[in-house]
Amino acid sequence: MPLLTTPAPPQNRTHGRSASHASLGLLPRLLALTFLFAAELLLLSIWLDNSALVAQGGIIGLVGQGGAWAVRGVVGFGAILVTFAYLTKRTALAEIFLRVEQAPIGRGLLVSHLLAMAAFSALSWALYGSHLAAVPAGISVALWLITGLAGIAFAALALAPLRVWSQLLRQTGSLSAFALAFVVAACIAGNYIRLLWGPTTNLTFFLTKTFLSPFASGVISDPATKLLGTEKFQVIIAPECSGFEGVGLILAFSACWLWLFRRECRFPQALLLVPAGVVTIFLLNAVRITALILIGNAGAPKIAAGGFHSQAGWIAFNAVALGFSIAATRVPWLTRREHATPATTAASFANPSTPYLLPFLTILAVGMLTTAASSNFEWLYPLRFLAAAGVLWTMRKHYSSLNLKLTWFGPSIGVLVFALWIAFDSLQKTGANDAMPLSLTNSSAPVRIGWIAFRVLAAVVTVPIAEELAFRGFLLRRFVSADFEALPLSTFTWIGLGISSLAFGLLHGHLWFVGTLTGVLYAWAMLRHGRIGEAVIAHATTNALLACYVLAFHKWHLW
Amino acid sequence: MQKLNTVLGLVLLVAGASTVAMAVPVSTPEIPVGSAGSAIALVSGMVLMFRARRK
Repeated sequence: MPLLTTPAPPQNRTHGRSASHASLGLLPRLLALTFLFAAELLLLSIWLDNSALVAQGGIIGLVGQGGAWAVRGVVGFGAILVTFAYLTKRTALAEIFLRVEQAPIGRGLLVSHLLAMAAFSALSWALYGSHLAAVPAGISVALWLITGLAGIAFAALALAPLRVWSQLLRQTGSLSAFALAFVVAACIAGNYIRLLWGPTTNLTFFLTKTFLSPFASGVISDPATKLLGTEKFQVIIAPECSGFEGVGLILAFSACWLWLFRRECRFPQALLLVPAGVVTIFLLNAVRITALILIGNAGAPKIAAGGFHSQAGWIAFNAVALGFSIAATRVPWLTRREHATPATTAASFANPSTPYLLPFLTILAVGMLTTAASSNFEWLYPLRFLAAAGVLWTMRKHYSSLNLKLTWFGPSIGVLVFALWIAFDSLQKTGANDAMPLSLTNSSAPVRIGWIAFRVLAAVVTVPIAEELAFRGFLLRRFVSADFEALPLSTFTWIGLGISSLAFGLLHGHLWFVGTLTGVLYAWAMLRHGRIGEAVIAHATTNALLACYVLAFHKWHLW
Repeated sequence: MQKLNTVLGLVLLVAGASTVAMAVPVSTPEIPVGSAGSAIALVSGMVLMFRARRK
């Protein structure tokens, strides 16, 4: 199996770079535009509180209420359009990609964008703080919307001229209409789906009671209030807990799978996987509530209502999705794929993605399980370190050429990311608790020191290696070629950088923006010399400094 | 048959997206948004690894 540092053919090493140096193509411009809007939206959302707008009522309140929906709709529309355009119109778009490189970036329009956004920010401040009481609400809202839309238009035209946008719209005409119709249909259907919450809650209540009866004596149930449990522990099954969210996730997952891999599926029988997945996830939701009651009844109510409740739904979804994937690719009746022979089964460990992804997936899977078995503090965190270390050790021969040569660049990037992280965290008004968790404070010194030692080891050793292998080693090249290992680690493409960094950012929750920036910087560390070790060292430096910061300044919310 | 599959796929996507998108924030949700990042990363990683070309 090829190892993690692939010698770079000279002609490939500059792939994508030389073009980007000449002039920015459409993709980097779109990424820059998305990043610009995301940064501005983030700054505004940190600065202004939307609830203040909603509280004002009238037309201003309506704008406040609709704002979140508008953002959700725009994100949904953009995500569908970009995904389907990338999958279906790649050839047609390639022509536009080439043409746009010749168009200069409009600096005057960029300045106009900044001026419009300054006016929009000033109006936002006035509107959110009720400083425009003298101006009729209709006029102030209209001015606010006009400056906001002008800001968007100026930025879009600065990065690509109008003819490019109209050409892009023509090429993706049906897709734009489809994406718009999809978003509207999802909103309308969502409102009607709520009507089904009542009947499904009744069904979930009945199923849970049936599953619970053989395992618990003296079951207490009240169909009117949906209260169910034992003398020691009871729950109320709310409509939102009736299994609909899991069903929705499985419907979305199965629809995407059947469409993306439609050439491999045997239709119509492959469609049976959809109801099978839906029924399974619905039953598993009843099993989840049953297990929750039994855990609470067994004397661990905090674990039942804490970690188990927060993770069990996702564990069920992952299990059903994995079962769906196995059935769709392994059952001959459902797939056109060649069946595995004993030889290919034996060679399954030679899957090139395994050394890159398995350590990271192990951390995620074990993390879900250890969180599910925790109450308000994850005592079992050391298992994440031990599991990841075990996988890395087992697969160590694949990493034998992992070049960990230390230069000043990797640690410098690590320090820069640490500074960014602290700066953004202080900007976010999270109100997070900075004190050491009470469970840890009250434990004996050896237990406390042992837990902290494993936490630091994971942050500095296993997490940087696993995450850099997955995001920079694998994902950054996987979107360039399915045969990603044939590409040198120095291969740069905007799409690889954009997707791998955004995916890395999204993994960091409310700090997604700085997480994405971090992904870009770690990618830079790797791409500069084509060595993944630079990215690992950068990541380890950041995490080591963060660990010192957490322990020295009691900033425990960062862990 | 192909058109039927397309329509069916779209209906499934709309139903799935609307079910998840319309979920109301509650204190004890079935699928908490807070754990979404790692859970979706896990399922995506599993699919990517599962479908990777073997050598």
